[in-house]
Amino acid sequence: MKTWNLAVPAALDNVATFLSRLVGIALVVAVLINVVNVLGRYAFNHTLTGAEDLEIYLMICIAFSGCVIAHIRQRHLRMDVLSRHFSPALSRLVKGAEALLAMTVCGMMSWVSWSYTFKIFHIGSHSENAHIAMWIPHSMLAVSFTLITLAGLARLFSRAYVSGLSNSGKPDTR
Amino acid sequence: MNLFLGVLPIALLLLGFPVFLVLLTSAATMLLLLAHIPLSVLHQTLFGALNAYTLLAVPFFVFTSELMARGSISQRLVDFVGATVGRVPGGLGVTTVCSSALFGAMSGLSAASVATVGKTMLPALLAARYPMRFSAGLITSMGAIDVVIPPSIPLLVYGTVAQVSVPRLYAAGIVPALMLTLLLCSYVVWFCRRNGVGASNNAFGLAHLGGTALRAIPALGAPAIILGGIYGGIFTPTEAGAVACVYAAAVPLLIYRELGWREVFECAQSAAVFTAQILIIVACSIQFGWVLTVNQIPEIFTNWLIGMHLPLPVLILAINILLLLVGSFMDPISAILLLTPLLLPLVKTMGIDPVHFGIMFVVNLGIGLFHPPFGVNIFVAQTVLGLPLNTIYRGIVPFVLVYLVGLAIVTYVPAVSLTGVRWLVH
Repeated sequence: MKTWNLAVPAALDNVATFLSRLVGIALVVAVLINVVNVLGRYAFNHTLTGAEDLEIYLMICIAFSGCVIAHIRQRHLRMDVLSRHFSPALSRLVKGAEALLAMTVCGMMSWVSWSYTFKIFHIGSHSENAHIAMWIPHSMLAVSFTLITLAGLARLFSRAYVSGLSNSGKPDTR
Repeated sequence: MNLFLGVLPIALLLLGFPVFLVLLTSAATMLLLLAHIPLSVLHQTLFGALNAYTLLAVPFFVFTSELMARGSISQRLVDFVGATVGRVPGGLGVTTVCSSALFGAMSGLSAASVATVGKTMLPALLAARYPMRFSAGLITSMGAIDVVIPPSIPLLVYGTVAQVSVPRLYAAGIVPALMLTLLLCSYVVWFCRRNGVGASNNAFGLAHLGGTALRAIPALGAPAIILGGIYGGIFTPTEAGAVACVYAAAVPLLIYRELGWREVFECAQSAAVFTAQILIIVACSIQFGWVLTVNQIPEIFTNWLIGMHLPLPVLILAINILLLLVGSFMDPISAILLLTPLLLPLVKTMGIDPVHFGIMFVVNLGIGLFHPPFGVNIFVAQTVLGLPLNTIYRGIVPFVLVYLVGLAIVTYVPAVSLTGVRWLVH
């Protein structure tokens, strides 16, 4: 019980830490490409072809990977004016409903996004300027929605496992 | 069915579900139940929404703000502004307002300004015997200027959603931001004279002014780069954001030597995650807006309001009240993303310039940021500065009135917003 109770949050936290390093690097790279492009334009009268494409795809990577981090760390923007005053029982109920809805909608979106990404992969489409295979940026959405769904399932499974064991009479270490 | 689809997002929002999930759920449900369009369009619209070069400015300005908020940049700004305007009655209060506006001109984020400038100014205000309630109200409300002053991130997001040029919006924000700063400063001076507080004993010293200016010059370079670059035709707003990032990293790293590479990378990580929180809502709201348009909802809403035959000033007043209410419950970016697709067609039909409307929009939401009961900056001031909630609520009231005067001027005198556009954008 201890293993599941601690392993799932620890694993999710590791995923979030890895992704936050990834998005940090993506942001620094995007800034550097942009500045190099500006310097190149004024100093050498030359710009990097495809720099805009690359920067935009880095931003898409930041947005969707960051969404997974925000989901794992419960940092999504929300209007918590009323929910702050909910009773603990109602709050648990709403949190449960939110987790189920997130899994359903993000699960559906991951199916939709993977289908679209495979379609783009088979077509062999590339971006106009940077000639990046388009399935790569499109797969960011699919990977992120899948990770959000898996994170939800892992949490649900861990909670169900712990509550199942505590109902069976063993001590609850939560 | 339509009623259910209208009630669903509002109910989920009120229950405290994440804004991105509410928008995504509503768009998917509408698409499944009403539009009978293949679901792959959900993926295409989400991807397409972020496939916009202008939006890159959001992570860049957030990164700049993160870098500026660390180290001693805010203290140097405060010292410089204090040396410049500190001699007037209520000089410390005026310094607080002007420092916040200057910080906003470097970062574009309101809460960062309240936290950073507030941390420096609150102890100084209290030590100079400014009343606690007045100080709390001043610090909590001053950040509202920062959502109007360029490089405002809410204005950038509005520009993207409304398809209005960002340089035009930034130019339009300058005069209203200066006017709001002036109104706040006037109130501070009036309050201090009336109550006999904040009298300055410092004599104006050219040497002191020169010294503080010298210490602050590297920090003051950021707004010069951003505004000078954009309106000098050197950079696009996105490029200005990237150059400002490098500058904001170089100043504490190489000139002030207060930050290391590790701290800069920490700023990048934290800026990227905060950006993601914003951009995922941008993507989902553009998708939601697309689904609304496919179902002709903005058109129905516009026709319904026009059908009421309300005089234009009354209609604008009603929009202002709606925005003030929404702004006090929701952060400006989410509010812009949710309401722009609904209100913009109506506003265009009434013949209001979308640039002028954008400024009106953000001034309303700026007031909402510190408007009781739930303005975000109230909780920033409470959490970061440890101010009691009751004191903040009481202290805010006169400042809300000052801002409402400013809002009325911005709303009913379009020239206030459009003058900057005429001057700076050719």
